[in-house]
Parts: sequence; C-alpha cells; structure tokens
Amino acid sequence: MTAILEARGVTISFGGIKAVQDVALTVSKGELLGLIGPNGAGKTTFLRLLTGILRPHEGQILLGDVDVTHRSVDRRARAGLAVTHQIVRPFRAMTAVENVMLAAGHGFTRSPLRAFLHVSRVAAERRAMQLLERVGIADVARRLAGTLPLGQLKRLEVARALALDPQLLLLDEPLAGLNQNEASRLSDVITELNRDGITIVLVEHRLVEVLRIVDRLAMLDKGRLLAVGAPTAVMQRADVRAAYLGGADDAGD
Amino acid sequence: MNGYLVSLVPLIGVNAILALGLNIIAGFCGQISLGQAAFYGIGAYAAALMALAGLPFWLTLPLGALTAGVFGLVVGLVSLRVREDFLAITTMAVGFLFLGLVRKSALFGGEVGLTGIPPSGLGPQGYALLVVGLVAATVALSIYMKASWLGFAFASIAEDEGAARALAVPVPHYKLAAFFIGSALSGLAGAIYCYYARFITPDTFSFLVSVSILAMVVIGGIGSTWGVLLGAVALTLLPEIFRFAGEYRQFLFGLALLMVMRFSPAGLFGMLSRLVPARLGNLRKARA
Amino acid sequence: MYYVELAVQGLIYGSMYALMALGLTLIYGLLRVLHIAHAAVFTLGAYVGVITANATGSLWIAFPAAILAAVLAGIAIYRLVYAPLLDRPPLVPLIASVGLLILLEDLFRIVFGNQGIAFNENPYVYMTVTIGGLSIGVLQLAMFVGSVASLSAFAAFVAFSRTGAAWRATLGNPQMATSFGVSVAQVRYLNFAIGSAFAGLAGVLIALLNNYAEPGMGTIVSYKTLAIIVLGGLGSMRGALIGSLLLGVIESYGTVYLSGGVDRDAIAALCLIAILMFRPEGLAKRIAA
Ligand SMILES: Nc1ncnc2c1ncn2[C@@H]1O[C@H](COP(=O)(O)OP(=O)(O)O)[C@@H](O)[C@H]1O
Ligand SMILES: [Mg+2]
Repeated sequence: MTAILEARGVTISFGGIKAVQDVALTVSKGELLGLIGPNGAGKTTFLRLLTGILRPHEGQILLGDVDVTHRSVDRRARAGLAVTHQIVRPFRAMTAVENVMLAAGHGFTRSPLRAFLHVSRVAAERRAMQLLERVGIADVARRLAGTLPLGQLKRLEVARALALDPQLLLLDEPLAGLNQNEASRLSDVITELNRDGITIVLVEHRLVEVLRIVDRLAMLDKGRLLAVGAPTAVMQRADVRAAYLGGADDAGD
Repeated sequence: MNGYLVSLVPLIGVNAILALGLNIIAGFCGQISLGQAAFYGIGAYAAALMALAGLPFWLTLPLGALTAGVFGLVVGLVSLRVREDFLAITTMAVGFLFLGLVRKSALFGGEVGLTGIPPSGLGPQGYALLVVGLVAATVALSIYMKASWLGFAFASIAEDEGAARALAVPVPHYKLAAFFIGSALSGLAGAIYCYYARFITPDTFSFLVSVSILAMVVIGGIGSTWGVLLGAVALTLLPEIFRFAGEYRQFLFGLALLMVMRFSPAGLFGMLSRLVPARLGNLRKARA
Repeated sequence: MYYVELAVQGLIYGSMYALMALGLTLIYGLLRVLHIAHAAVFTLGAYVGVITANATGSLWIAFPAAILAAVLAGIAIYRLVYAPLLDRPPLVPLIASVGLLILLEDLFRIVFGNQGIAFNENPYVYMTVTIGGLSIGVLQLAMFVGSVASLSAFAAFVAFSRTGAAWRATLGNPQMATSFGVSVAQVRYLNFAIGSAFAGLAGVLIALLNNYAEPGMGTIVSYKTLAIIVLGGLGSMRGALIGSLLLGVIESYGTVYLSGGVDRDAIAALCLIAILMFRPEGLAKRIAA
C-alpha cells in the first residue's frame, strides 16, 4: 500500500504544554483510519498540523511524497486534503447550498482573475445539491447556514469538504451532536465514501461507531501516539484502556 | 443642464467612485481601510504630475489609477500580515504617512500643492458626461464582480478567512486583488478630481476625507453597490442643498456616522436588503 | 549635550503619549474597542482646563475640573455609545467612535471658534529650570513629572490595593469579577473613568504647554496613540508604555534628522508600518519573552 500522508516526528507546544509530541504516523491510500484519544489528547491539534492551520515546531508532513510542511492551508486543500472542523465554521450569511458551492467551485477560485472571469454557478450548484443529498440535508439547502441546528451543520461541514473532490478527508468528530439515527446514517456515508476511494482519517469519540467502520485505529494520549494497529488489537491493550477510561495517570509510562 | 449642476456632477462622481472602491475592499472582501484618502491622493498627484509633464488626458487617467492600484497592493501586503483592528490602525497610519511625505516634498509642491494643471479639453459638459460614464462603469463592475466567483470568494473571506482557506481559496491573492482594485478606483477618482479642480493641495486628502469615504459606504449600506452609490450622492449633495449646513458639515457627518452605527449598522439604504445586514455580520470574526 | 536634550524632549512627549495610550489600552483590553474618540475626551480636558483657569484664576481648580469633566465624558461615552454596541462586529463601534470624534471636535469649533481659546495668564510658559546643565521648560518638566507620578500611582493602585487586585484579575478573566464582589459593568466603568482621567490630565498639560486649546488638537494625538498601542501589541500595558516613550524619542530625533523627508506627524506611521511588517503582533511578545 502506498502512503498518501505521512507525519514524521511532528511536535508542537503551546506555552510549554506539548500538545503533540513526536508523532509519526502514515496513512495508506484507501484506508479508513480511526484516531481516538481522551479529551485534550491532541487530536484536533494533530489534524490542524496536517492541514497547515498550525506549523509544527519540529518534524515534517508529507502529502504523497511531497513535503508540505511549509505549504499554506489552501494549497494543501487544492492538493486534495480536505477537513471538517470539530467546532463548525459555516459561512453563516450564506445558504447551506452556497456553502457547498463555494467549495465545489474550487476550479474557479484558483486565482482571483479566473474567479473574476466566471459567473455561472449552475454546475457548482448541481454538484452541491448532490452532496447535500448524500449527507442527508438537501431539504434545508436554501436556508441560511446561520439558522441551522448543530446536527445539520456537522453534515454541512462534511458536504463542503467533499465538494473539494479530496483524495484524503480528515474528519474531526463529525458525529458529535448528532442523534443515534443521524450518527449511524452519517457513518454509513463515511464508509461509502471510503469505498468510493477516498482515504479517510476519522477522529471520533463514539467508540462503537468507530470500531464498527474503521480499518485501523490510532490512539493519542497527552500528545503522544500510544498505539496504532488493528482496532481489536489496539483496544485490548491495557494502557489504551486505562488512558481511554481517564485513568491515564495510573497507567504508568 | 445649468452650470451649477454641471459643476456638481464631477464632485458626486469622484465621491461615488471613491465609495464604490472602498466598498470592494471593506464591503466585499471584509478588510477595513481607514486610509483610502491616500490612494485618492496618489491618483491625483500622479495624474497631476503626468499632466504637468505634458502627458495627454486619456493617458493620465488610467495611469493615475494604476499608480494608486500598485500602492494599494503594497498596503494589501500589510493586510496579509495584520488583521482587523491592527489593519484599521495601519491603514489610518498610511494616510498620515502619505500626507507627511507630500507636505515635505518639493516634487509634490509641499503645503501649497500643485497648480496649473491643464484642462481636460472636454469642456464642463463633456467632462461631466465622461464622469457619469465612469461612474456607470464602476457600478457595472461592482455588480458584475459581486455576481462573479470573485465576489463569491470575497464574501467567504469577509465572513471567515480560515474557513475559506480550508476550502482551497488562496486568501492572500484575493485580499491583494481587493486592495488593488479598490485603490485603483480611488486613484481614478483622484485623477478625475485633479482635472476638475485644476489644482491639488495635501488637505484634500486628509484623514477626514478617508472617514467621509467610509461614511458614504456605511451610511449607504456596506456591501450593497446601490446603497453605497446612494450614500455617496446623498452625502455629497446634502451640504450643497442645505447651504446653511456648510458650517455644520463635519458635525453632521459625525452625527450621521454615530447615529447610523448606533441604531442601524446595516446602513440606511441597506436596511431594506436581507443580504446586507448579514454581510456586515460577516465582518465579525471569531475572537476566542 | 544636544543628543541628551533631544532624548529628554522625546521622553517628555513620550510621557504624554503614555498617559493617552494607557487609557486606550485599558479600554481595548477589556472591550476590544479602538476608542478613537478618546482624543475628544483629551480635547475636552484641555478646554475645561483653560476655561476654569480663566474663570477662577487657579490651576488648582482647573486640573480637578478638567479631570472630572473627562471622567464624566468617558463614562457617558461608554454608557451611550459603546455599551449598546458591544455584541456588534468590531467595525461598528469603531466607526461610531470615529463619528463621535468628528462630531465632538466640530462641536468645540462651533461653540468656541476656529482659533480655540487661550489662557488669560500663563506665567509658566517661558519659565525654565536648569537641571544638570540642561535647560528644561517648567511646563515640560511638569508634564513629565505629572505623567510619571500619575502612572506610578496607578501602578501602585493596581499592585497593592484590593480593588486593584480585583480589577487586574477581572481584566484577564471578566467572569472572575463576581468572585471579587464586583460586577463586570463596574469594572468597565472604572476602566473608562481611569482612562478618561488620564486623557483629561494630558489635555490640560498640553494646553498649558501650548498656552491654548484648539478643536483639532486631539486628532494627531489620537492617531499617534492608536499607532502606539498597536505597536505595543494591543492590550499590553507594558507594550504601550514602552511604545510611548520610544515614539517620543524617535520623533524627537526624527524631527531633526528626517525633517527633509517626512514631517513629524508621519514618523509614528513610519514606525508602525516598519515594525508591523516584521512583527505583526506588535512589540509586546518580544518584550514578554
Ligand atoms: N491554540 C492553542 N493554544 C493553547 N493551547 C492549545 C491550543 N490548541 C490546543 N491547545 C491545548 O492542546 C491540548 C490538545 O488539545 P486538542 O488538540 O484540542 O485535543 P483533542 O482534540 O484531542 O481533544 C489541550 O491541552 C489544549 O488545551
Ligand atoms: Mg478535538
């Protein structure tokens, strides 16, 4: 299997607290990797390092075999790396479908001049509607994003990321805030997407859903990568269980 | 048309183009500028110097705009480094820096400014018509831009830069584009003013002028092309219609700004539109 | 000797900037509002100072009167303009503040005339003292001493008094206020009162130094002190103080060495742009580090 993304010894600290410490992780093309860990373990920070919102103090990030450590967020997005935010960030003044259209028109927004020369939004809108349907919120397509409840905004995030036609999708707790029905439906969508060829890194708290769908599991704790491997094997490790149950302090190092 | 009205048209046109230019930067792209008078001034001084050097009118106008646009790019580069409140003060500082340089420079005529600028050769009526044409072109440009993907991407940046970047929008390029276009329009207004007044002094480009331009934009309704156009026309005409207000012009400006912000931040004309209040809300960024 | 003299002049102006910048920083730190109309409070202090001095013949009455007027104005501005706009996007209170500044400046012009008003008698204008071979105007010395004294008093209040401690804690975390038995609103009023008192004091001091108060005297000071607090890293008191003194000194030398290229008032802009290009967060971080 070829690596689509690789983190090499990535480290970042905030005012002395090492939020991510020397993490080395390879994501293979086509896999669905689950990333778990207790609150504050550094999962979101790690994803931010991958997308380029944060720059690591040490280490490198490779997309394919290109070193993108110093590339901007938008260039990484254009190279096929899409992300959903744990804390949703919709354009509240736009409708739901417009939110997705902006991403679907990534061919037009490549440069200001190109954007200036294109007006038609028909194709982008069609694509956006398909994606909204896919995540199950097509019925609120014309509503302002600012008026939607959290559960729908979570799915809007996913639709927006998909509109970038990504090769690699990083999902930060996409199921949080969804009821049981919505959650299992969205995790079905995630599995489908993975089957269609999109590599996915899924950060998620709901272990049941995660274990149901992922191929491989990685566990972060206090900024360190504690374990990677087959889901059942990882979950059986005592240190993982201890950390996950919040007893990380007694687990010993 | 009678002479008085004909003489008013270029003034209204200058203000309209200034306001529409700032609207592209602040209304469309969400970047604050408190120093737009500097680009107005750069356009005016560039056109004046070129006119005095003998360049023909039809060349000085676009070149004046281009010069201002290029300086706008430089300030745009600053906008990539600083945000929001920092940007507001930095652009304000750019305005003062421009005045400080012009006042001390013999090339620009110092405090006295530049005089003896040749006429456009179009006559008052012809000039008024040209200005009307240029305003119409600016309005058309604004409307087209907003409808294009450029306007779409601008709107996303105005609302949430970070989210726009995550959706593959190369935000820095867009900000530079906004500063270039907006400043070039301010420069065009400066060049128009230069042939209208036939002399220019530093005071024409003071901080108060930057604020007046901003006033036209926010009173008209930030982000709304028609609203901003109406704001510019109204704020130019009001003191002319109410001659007695001449002395209170500044006072009324201040009062209008304060009252509109206090009671209807979407602008007087913008209140009617659904989109404009939302667009203003776009300027709010997460301040976690 | 000449260099020392320039530096001293710079520090004197810098101390006045510090009085203004501190108020702006306090207000920015708590409300995230760029209080441009602070300059109008400064001008009000100057006018009230001149008027009271002329009416009573006593500076001992003029100073407290000016400070009181400034405090009341500051509180009124918070109450009537900013408080209702705090949940709006930052552009809204900013533009409202610009409007307020223009309105008030023009009000001074309409009421008291274009030329401003002068002190009937100001015996100190030409008085100088000689310290260590350096001849300094009495009023300049007073400005420096007055600024340093009031800023030190403020620092002591913050460091040593109970209210000061509560206030400091609240600045960092407004929710803390209740645990100190004060409300967030009270701390905001206190901030405006303290900041405005400094502005009023600075206004009278500058009026004394120039011998008159004029309508537009605040605009340039406002732009410079805004530049300073941005330089200082917005919200950092230490950054603002250092920025003030630094700008005073740079201006002082700049007026001599750059006078061919830019005028004095553009130097602040030059510093601001130059520094922001290299340190977009202002000076504070480096100082803290
Ligand atoms: N921008 C930041 N500044 C300071 N500390 C941060 C920042 N982002 C995250 N942290 C800290 O880093 C640690 C990891 O946080 P995070 O990545 O959000 O964890 P998770 O997503 O696993 O819950 C936490 O201790 C958090 O407080
Ligand atoms: Mg997280």
